[in-house]
Amino acid sequence: MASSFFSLLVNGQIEAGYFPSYDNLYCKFSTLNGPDWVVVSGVEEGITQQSLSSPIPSFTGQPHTLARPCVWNFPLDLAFKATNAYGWPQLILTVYGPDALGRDVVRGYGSIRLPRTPGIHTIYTPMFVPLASTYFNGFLSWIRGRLPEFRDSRFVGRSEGRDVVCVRSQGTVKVTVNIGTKDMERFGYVNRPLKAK
Amino acid sequence: MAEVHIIGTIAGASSFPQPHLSCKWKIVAGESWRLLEGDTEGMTQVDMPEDPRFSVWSHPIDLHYGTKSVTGWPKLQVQVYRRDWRGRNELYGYGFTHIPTTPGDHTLDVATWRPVLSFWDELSSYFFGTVPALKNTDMVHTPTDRFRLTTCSMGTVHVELGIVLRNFEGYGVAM
Repeated sequence: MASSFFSLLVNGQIEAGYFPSYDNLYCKFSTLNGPDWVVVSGVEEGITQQSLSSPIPSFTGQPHTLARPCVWNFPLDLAFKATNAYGWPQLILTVYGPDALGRDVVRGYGSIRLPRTPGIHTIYTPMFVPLASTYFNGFLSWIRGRLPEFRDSRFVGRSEGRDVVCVRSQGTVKVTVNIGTKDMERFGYVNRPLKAK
Repeated sequence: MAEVHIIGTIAGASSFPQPHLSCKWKIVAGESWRLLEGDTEGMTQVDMPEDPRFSVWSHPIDLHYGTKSVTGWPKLQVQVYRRDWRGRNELYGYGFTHIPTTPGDHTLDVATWRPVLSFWDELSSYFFGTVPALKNTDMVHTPTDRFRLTTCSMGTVHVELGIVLRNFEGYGVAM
């Protein structure tokens, strides 16, 4: 029997960020999905707490020598409904932290394509920040304490215009998700290897 | 018509001799394949990584094909470029991989190579900053004419792809 839509269940957490050069970080997330997808339950955007990798403050803004992750342990509970696998949802992550003068600056952008197969998945996603287009602009932004940012963080989940940016990759975010799908087979889709009968 | 979804990420590259890499990618499929949605080609960002062992591209891929035949199954072709200190992008590697036919999530490593010249031409290319590249990049994913080339090995491009098939079973096709 055919079904008119299929569903994707996402339960998980943004577990931690590993940034060797930065500390006291928080993370914003949002979802990015195609036109045939809707979120039926859960929050599509969120912001974690600010997390120190160690209870003892580091006054320099630099992390302690024994680098530990900034744990967020931030819950993700989402359910999607779709009529087309095109535009499979992505999580867009942005990590912020204070610079030496306490101003919040961006420390990393990253995107995660949610897994297509049911099961538990542990994802380490690399993060990156855009670099200024010229050395002069880079110097100016360093003076002003405003590092280059993307106007819309969802830019990193799209293919268009990526060729004109130059980035520096730094740090990793760990996300664990449990994926469940409903009615994909009834919709005619096969999203995992068929078992030998 | 059977449908194929190719959903994933061009994650990045490792084991290249130098960092500051970007990647031009293209998906090529046979004549009986029709693109329904999505981009078949693109160019990633340039990464100047903190850790030079791995370049991050995190470039999304999302394609929806309709097909009447399983022959001409799509291939991913990559061309890696390296940005030198003058800001010029020079060719740094070619490679291809077949898109997996099995549904599910796959991690693919694409081994890459680039053409090399004779010793003297290589020396002059070092001084003039010219790098040998293929005139016709179709050679990267077709088996003809490869024997004329001399190449050297470059690094690995890492790709994560999820394959979702639709209506294949109705035609008696097992993947």
